[in-house]
Amino acid sequence: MDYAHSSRSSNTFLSAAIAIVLVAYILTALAGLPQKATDKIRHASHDHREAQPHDVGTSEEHSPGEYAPHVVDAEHPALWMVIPFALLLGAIAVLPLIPATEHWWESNRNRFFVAAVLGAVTLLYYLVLHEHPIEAHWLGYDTVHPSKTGINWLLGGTVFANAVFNEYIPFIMLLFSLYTISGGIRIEGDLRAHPLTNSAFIATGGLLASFIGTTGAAMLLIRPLLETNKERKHVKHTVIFFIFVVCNCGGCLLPIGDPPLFLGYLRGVPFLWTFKLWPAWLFVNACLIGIYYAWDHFWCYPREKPLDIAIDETRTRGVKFSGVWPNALLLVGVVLSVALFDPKKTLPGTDWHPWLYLREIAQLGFVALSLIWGSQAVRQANRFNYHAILEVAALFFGIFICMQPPLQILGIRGPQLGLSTPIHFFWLTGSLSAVLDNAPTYVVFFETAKTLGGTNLVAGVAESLLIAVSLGAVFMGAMTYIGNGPNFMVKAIAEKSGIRMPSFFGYMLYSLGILVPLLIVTSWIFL
Amino acid sequence: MIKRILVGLAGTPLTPVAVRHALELAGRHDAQVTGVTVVDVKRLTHIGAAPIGAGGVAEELREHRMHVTEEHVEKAIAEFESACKDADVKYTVDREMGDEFALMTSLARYHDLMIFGMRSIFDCGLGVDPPNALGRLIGQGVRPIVAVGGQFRPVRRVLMAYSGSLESAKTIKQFIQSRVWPDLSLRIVTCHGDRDEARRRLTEMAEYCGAHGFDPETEHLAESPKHEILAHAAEWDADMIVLGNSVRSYLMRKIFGETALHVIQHADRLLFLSQ
Repeated sequence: MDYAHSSRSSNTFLSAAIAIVLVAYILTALAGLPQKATDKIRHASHDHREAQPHDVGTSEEHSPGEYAPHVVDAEHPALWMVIPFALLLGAIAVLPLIPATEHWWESNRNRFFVAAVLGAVTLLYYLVLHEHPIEAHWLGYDTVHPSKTGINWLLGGTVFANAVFNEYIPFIMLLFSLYTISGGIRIEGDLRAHPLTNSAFIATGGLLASFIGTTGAAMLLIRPLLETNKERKHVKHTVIFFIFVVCNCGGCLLPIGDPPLFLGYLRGVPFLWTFKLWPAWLFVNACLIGIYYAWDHFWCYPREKPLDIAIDETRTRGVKFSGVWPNALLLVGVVLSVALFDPKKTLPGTDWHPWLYLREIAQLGFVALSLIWGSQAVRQANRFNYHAILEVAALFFGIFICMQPPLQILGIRGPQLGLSTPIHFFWLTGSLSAVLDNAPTYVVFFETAKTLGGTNLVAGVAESLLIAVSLGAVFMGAMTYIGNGPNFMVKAIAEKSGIRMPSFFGYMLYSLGILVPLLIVTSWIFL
Repeated sequence: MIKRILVGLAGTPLTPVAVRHALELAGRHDAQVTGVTVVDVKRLTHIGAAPIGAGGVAEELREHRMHVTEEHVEKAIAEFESACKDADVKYTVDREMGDEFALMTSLARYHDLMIFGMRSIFDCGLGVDPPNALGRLIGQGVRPIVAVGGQFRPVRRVLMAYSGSLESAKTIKQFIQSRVWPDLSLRIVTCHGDRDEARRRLTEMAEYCGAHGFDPETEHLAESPKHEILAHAAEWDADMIVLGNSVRSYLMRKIFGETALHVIQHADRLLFLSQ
């Protein structure tokens, strides 16, 4: 089956699936179910808010302190229940490296199998062994007590709902909609590969990353950047700085920019709070682009052969945008849906609380419109497929469930970890984000920071610590090829274009030499 | 006596140059040429860990590497066969899959001379050659090796770098005894701080060459061999550098092999490498 045919089949299947979901949602809305759920959330949030310390800069706009430490009876799950979470993260890191499991792990079905089994072990613990009350987060706040006898269906169900209904579904819907819609946009062009042109590419990507996600911005711009530079021989550093800025450091201004920030948003961080990170964002990205420009202008560009430069100067093609309509508008729609359709707060200018999952339904609707109205040819040219998002969906299903016990443990034992200052949180969050996925890493340290209390709380976390966790998770994803999904995607695209990219450790020489000193200065100035 | 020559078909721009040298020597010695391609699937497809969401991309990258390698291999073989037929040289093609070093060590047993591209032995244009591949080949007993640069150079002027070590003496002796190229202008160079010691070395090696019917010039270079040899080769317009090498371990490399590694990494003319 050729690519065009399989792509068409996938899109048809997906459009049909979305249509079914939309119809089902409409039917439930006619039955008043989402409205009732929203009412429940609204009342529960109000009651919960009354019992919480007041957050800085938040009022009705976003439920303040809704995830602030709220240990029900200071009993956490058994410590060994971090094992499924550790095993899952370990499997993601190690199974692709073992010859015996390398190919087996390539299948999303097998990935889901591992994630689901470990998730099931976690749920089984709550069903059978856990004997203490836990908090319910989905549909507002409640404390769920274990039954005296038999299987704890209520505890297991609560953990599942916390993980899947409260976090996994919104998380995966956002990533899916950004991924699918931005996959319908294509930028082509072959400009003169001057240092300033390349710097402008990187700067544009750094700006876009916060608004359409680092993956979307990277996929949109890497191809024209490589096309522009195809006549040059010294291009490796350009790709590396592109990874630094576009795939990572540019994405911290909005929760949409990088998945960990969206998880923060789901945990109560106000949508526009991340704009407060702009001084560090500007400093790091401006420094990186400045270093890149100097490097390219004074070292690499002069080393190009005159013949290559002459060809580059003459073989040019103007920038061509395809698929901008309707996808750019739909991306704006996704951003607005995230910003406005939170059932815990009223729609600005009204006293109406959006229905539960209206945000996700809107996002699915935008995806459907993108598939219907958008150009199929553009997606084919981008070689767009759903493999990446299916992989994310398969693994995060298990991650969100397996993460529950460690988070509950941290909720009680967090202060004993010895982490106290923003510097601690920045470097520890960052170091782990460099080698593990930064989304669960962010959540772990978010919850740890929450246990420390303090003043100027944002979603229950001291603002200075939240800044540190957010910046660490986003910036230090750039430390390795595996720190963030788009890093590896860009590396692979560059390699397929004939660029000899450095090895895993070769890349780390760049990040250790450039990024780490810059982040030391950043932490010194801004934390 | 050269009767069997092995030439590595890497499918890079250096491959046609290697083939041309092999055919030139085969014609001169009435020798048979074996063109060998080696695809190490394990190394080529080793991508390492991929972050969440990039598994599909990693799989595509593996497929891309295999596809590009197969393309390069087929093209290199076709060009090799065509060149052999045009030169009327007896040839065989050996398609190998597996570990390059083990395979080359095995094949070297039955060939008198190995010819490879200087910095692209097996990579098929992908840039995934193991580091210091030539040094490792020699260290594992694949010798003598002629490493070619980007341009064909008829071999007339040969610079022999003599460090005084047993390895470099053995390399020069092998070069002299094998008489691969006739009618050569030879120059022996050595780098040593003690002028008298340098002169003694040069005289002894020149006498050895003289006993084999050659009349080499000698030159004492005062500076570090790492930088002097290439500069001197360019100044004297040498077509080939004969160089001893002892890269067996990190320690040995630090003691003996720095010069050889530097020359391999930066040379723009043929290298004859043996011990």
